[in-house]
Amino acid sequence: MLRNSPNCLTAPSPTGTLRPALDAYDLAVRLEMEGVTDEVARTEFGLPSTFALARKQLCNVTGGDYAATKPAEKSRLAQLFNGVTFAIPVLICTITSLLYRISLWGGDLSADLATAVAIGTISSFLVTGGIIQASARRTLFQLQCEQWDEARATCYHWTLLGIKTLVGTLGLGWAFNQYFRWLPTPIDWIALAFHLFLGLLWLACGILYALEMGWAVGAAVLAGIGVVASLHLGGGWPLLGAQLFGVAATAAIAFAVAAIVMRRNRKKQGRGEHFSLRVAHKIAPYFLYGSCYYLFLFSDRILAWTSHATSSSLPLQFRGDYETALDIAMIAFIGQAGWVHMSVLAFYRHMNAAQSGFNVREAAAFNAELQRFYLRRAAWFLPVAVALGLATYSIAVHYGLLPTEAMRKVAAVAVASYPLLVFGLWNTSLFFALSRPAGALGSILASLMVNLIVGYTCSRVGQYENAVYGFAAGSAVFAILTTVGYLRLSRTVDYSHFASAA
Amino acid sequence: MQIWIEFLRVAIPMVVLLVLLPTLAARMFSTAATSRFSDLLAVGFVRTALFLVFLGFLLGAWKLYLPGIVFTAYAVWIVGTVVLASRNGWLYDLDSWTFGYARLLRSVEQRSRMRHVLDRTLELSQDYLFLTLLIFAMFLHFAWNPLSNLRFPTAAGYAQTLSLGTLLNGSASVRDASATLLAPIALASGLDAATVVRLSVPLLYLLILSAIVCCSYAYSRSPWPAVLAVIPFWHYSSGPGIEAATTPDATLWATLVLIAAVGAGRRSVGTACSGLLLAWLLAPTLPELFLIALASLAIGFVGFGLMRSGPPILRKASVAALFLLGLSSLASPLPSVPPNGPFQYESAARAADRIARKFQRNRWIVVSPMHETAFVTGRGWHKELPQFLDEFPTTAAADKAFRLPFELADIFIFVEKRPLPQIAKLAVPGNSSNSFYYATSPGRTSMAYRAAEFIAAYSSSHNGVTIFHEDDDLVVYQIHQ
Repeated sequence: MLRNSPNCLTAPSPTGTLRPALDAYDLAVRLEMEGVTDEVARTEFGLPSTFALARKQLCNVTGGDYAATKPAEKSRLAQLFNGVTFAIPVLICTITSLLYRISLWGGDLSADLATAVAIGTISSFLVTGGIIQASARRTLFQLQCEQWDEARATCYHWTLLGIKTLVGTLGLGWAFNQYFRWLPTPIDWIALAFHLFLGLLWLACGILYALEMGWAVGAAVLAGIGVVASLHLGGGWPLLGAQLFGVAATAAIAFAVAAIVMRRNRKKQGRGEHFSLRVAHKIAPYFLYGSCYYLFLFSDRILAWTSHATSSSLPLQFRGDYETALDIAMIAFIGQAGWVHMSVLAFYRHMNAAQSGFNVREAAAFNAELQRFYLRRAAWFLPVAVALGLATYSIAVHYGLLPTEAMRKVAAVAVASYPLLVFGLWNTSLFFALSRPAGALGSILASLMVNLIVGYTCSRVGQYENAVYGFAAGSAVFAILTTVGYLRLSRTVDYSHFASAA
Repeated sequence: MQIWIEFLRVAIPMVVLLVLLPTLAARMFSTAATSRFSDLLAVGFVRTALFLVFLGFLLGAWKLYLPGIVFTAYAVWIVGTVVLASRNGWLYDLDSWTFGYARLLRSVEQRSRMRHVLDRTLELSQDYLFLTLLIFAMFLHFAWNPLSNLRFPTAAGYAQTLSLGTLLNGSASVRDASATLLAPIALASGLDAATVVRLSVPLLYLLILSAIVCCSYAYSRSPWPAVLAVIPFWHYSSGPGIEAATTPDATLWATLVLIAAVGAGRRSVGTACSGLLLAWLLAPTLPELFLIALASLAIGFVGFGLMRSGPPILRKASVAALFLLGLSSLASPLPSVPPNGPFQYESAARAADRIARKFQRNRWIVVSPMHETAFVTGRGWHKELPQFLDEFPTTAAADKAFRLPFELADIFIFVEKRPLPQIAKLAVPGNSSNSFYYATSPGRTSMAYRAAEFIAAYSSSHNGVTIFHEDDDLVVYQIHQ
């Protein structure tokens, strides 16, 4: 028997009207209603939180194992892995391309075909980026509430919307090209095909990331590359045809895995969340942010590839040296982005712990504590990120991966810019964690404008590789604006935390 | 059908960029109660045209006439117009945006108001119905030649196409103001410079007809002087004076001076000055077309004065006579245009255009007389036939080891089977050798003969020579490398 047991723990209730608790969540609510906060649970019951007290009490009643019900906390390595899962397809493709000269997209193609693939890849990201961001926001919320049926239906609706958007933009792209005649046939059809199939792949990967199944994405991509290899090397198919088939197969596998996992966890037939004006209003900032973010990431490439193209055979000319330099710099970015995921989880943990450590009259101290945590993290991140960038650049130069001056310039500027971008992403994650997307949206919009203006001017006045300066300027603006925004927000983070939970 | 689609692709950007957006920007949030829509149309057109011409000169001088910069500058111009036209600082006031949104909803809901505006427009247009129909028919009549022929009837058309192409390629600065005005339209239409220049001619003709109507109305408040003015103008400009009307510079010049006159009539100093300044930039000399327009306007005003001062029976008879005159004008045969010349065969222009549309950009080269350059600029490469023949003699072409030094997939060589007849028999002393080849019959014949000789020698020792186009006058050989 626990000391000073609250009424709800001494079932049955004296009046006989209090029904037994449904689960640990129900019991935790009842405990909080009787004033059992985390602090009380710690000082009077010797347990870390109210929720732990509820779980222990339920185990006492049902005879379950308390230790087994404890939510599993992932190791730091696993957290880091989760943070970099977004890059799995690109990483696997790069590795297989380097080792076996075979990949899911790209590879040994002519300049025109590489341009078509690049256009399809970028447009697929631009079209699906916002949808994936919005879908992930809703799905993650429902998965955290263990509402699997709703999450499944939400995924279904958003994926359907994504497919419709992909098909719609396919038609628009075709009409646009018919009007301006930028890409001749069959380059236009190749670009459109990659746009559709890669878009489907990103939609499927988005669901698996929401389910925290990055390994499944990796497995699907490997299987897709296997399909490409068997069709191209074994069956003698043209590389592009095999790649399109491989991308489609990868998307199908990813969709199938997601559907199986969702179906296995379902409890009842749920209708989920329909797309309504209310949902659109709530999700619009996340959708816009996703679209703008991908446009931000690719705008310098688009500017570089369209610069000084009047004498080339296509108005957009894929420039492999620019892409290679950015890809090398991206290795540093992937490592830094993993830190963002870890830091956001640490922020949640720290905020929850700090919340139970301060009473309602100590809001200012609570805010100051979180601000100190933020600054500590920032102080750790920046030197490590710079060191990672320097190491990546030095290794690339040492092994001759950046043979030209232009490539070295692009890689150096990109390596210097990625920490700023990642720092902005960390701030953005905090905005999202506190359900304050407006700050992130405004920052990315301003940064995108800076990126476009600076990149356009530099690449047109000077050489095409100067487009990377736009990316650098945009990243700096993004980091500054989001940092200022978060520091302002952190003065009232107690309110934001409360409001985000409401 | 395709030519009409292309015509719309030029017409819509021209109307939207030069007239509609500037007018709406000036009117949408304007607090000036006295601003008339027709005045704003003229003001919007002149100011925007002036802005685009200066922008073209500025960016062209730095070789930075690029779509992104042009359209960003244009957007800034339109936003600036909106901000300057409104005086209540609504741009920075969140409430005014909310009220604006509410007003928009209310205007959508209040259909009766919209119907009232439509009724007023229809009521007004009844008075102008005959005039509108007359102008439309004149426009179609005039547009027949540029819509059915690719080649230009004047040297100015080729020169302007090359200026426009040069500006769009960002390869050099240009001094042609009409090219800088047409460049944003070319960018928005997605068409080549030659098509834009050719199809803009009837649109500019429509513009000058509208300017005559505006000028007539500004000083008389009646549609009849305009009817009296456009009929003689059309007779002179589309008949013997067709060459004058097909020069976009001259058309624009006359239009702008007329708009300046409208501005002066309405006591709008800004419009009058902007119109005159832009006209001076376009062509400092007085174009013949303007004199025709001026004379037509004089005829219109004098005729209208006589109609108004005479007895009622004379007035009715004049109106009936005007109807008959208008109808007889429209019933007159289409202007007869020679099937070829004076600078190139129509089939040569069509072949060059077909090559540019069919083959991938910058993967081919046309070797021909210089006038085909206008049809390939910005889409492919061009080399003048006399220079080509001087560089690669027939004896060299007969050698199996000979390779044409072009890193391109296809080479097209134009050979005239019947050299295009030229008026001049001898070259003008002191001019370049090109004038001998292009402007004299012996030179043209010699060029065609040498080209045929080269092809005969080359095809006897090389594979990959086919005929891309052939008719009674011209043969186009394709060398696939």
